[in-house]
Amino acid sequence: MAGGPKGRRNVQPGGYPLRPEVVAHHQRQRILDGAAKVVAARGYREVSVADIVREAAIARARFYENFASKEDCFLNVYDEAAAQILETVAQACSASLESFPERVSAGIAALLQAIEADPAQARAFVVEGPAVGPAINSRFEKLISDFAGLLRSGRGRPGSSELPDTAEETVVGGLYWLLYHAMIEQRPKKISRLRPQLVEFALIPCIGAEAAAAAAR
Amino acid sequence: MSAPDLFLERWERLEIAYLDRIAAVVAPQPSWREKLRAGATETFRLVERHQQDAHFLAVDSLAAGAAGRSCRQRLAANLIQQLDSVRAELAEPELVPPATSSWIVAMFFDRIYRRCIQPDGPDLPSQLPELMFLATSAYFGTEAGLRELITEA
Repeated sequence: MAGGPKGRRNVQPGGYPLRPEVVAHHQRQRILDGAAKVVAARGYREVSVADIVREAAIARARFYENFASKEDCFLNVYDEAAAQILETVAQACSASLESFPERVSAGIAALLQAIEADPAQARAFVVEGPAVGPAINSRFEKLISDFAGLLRSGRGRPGSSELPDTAEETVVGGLYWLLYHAMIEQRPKKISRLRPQLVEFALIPCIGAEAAAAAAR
Repeated sequence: MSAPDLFLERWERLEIAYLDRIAAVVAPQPSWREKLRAGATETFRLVERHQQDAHFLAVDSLAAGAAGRSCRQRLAANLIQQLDSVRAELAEPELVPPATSSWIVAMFFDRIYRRCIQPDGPDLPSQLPELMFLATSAYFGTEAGLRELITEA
């Protein structure tokens, strides 16, 4: 690693030095991964830059070359997690060429798989994000709005014109805090069992409660 | 007194006052729907009127570590249990998902949380019909849910 013990160089297996931008990217990613891990384990408020540096096994100077502060670092963790999860869900929805309920079901399955695949990042993102303070507020609003946008593709069906404009945001907000509580109850492995219920709740505004229940089974 | 102790003292004082107030407005109502509407209306009134206390309960507690988590879970569990009592009125309660009342409480909480972090956003009373529509639909079906929108229009 750059800045490592004197005399060592960043060398790839072929014997050529790694390009500085590759090293810098790798270091940045290690810091972000380390931050997600310690924040998930101990909580955002309890974690210091020293904890992140120790977890990432990286020099303190490297941290400040990448981030201005703990908050700056965590906001990058948050933004990357939000972008990744949104993309994963959006891809799952569009990959399924079936009906709207099936697209919603595929999207929720992908969301829960992503949470189970990386529980530390998911916990840092979902549980610790709101602990950051005012800097997270606009990001939280955008997150809910982005996911609501995916659900809004179900509009245009008979009866859906009667729905309030913000129905999808309300549904997504409820799903967010439902997952939040499942995570703080230390049940990450049981989260996938929530899938049929989450699908049903997500579908209620657009296709009605009865059809949502049938689609979720 | 330590910071966690101060947090707990303030939380307990507000939680007891809140639950007492909700019990008082809910008790006289004849049906689950009316109880939910009365409880939600009073909650929203309290949030709008006591914004600092609401911010403490809905936002600051999220950064209060284990103490905040256990307090929020206790209050949520109380409300979830009250809401789910509606199953006694349903012909086929087993057809309603077990997490329905958790989801409804989560939706109400989300609206309160977002009102606290975005004070310039829409006020809470204006969002009651939508929340009543979703909550009623989940337990009683779409037709009953839509009546909440028509009644309040």
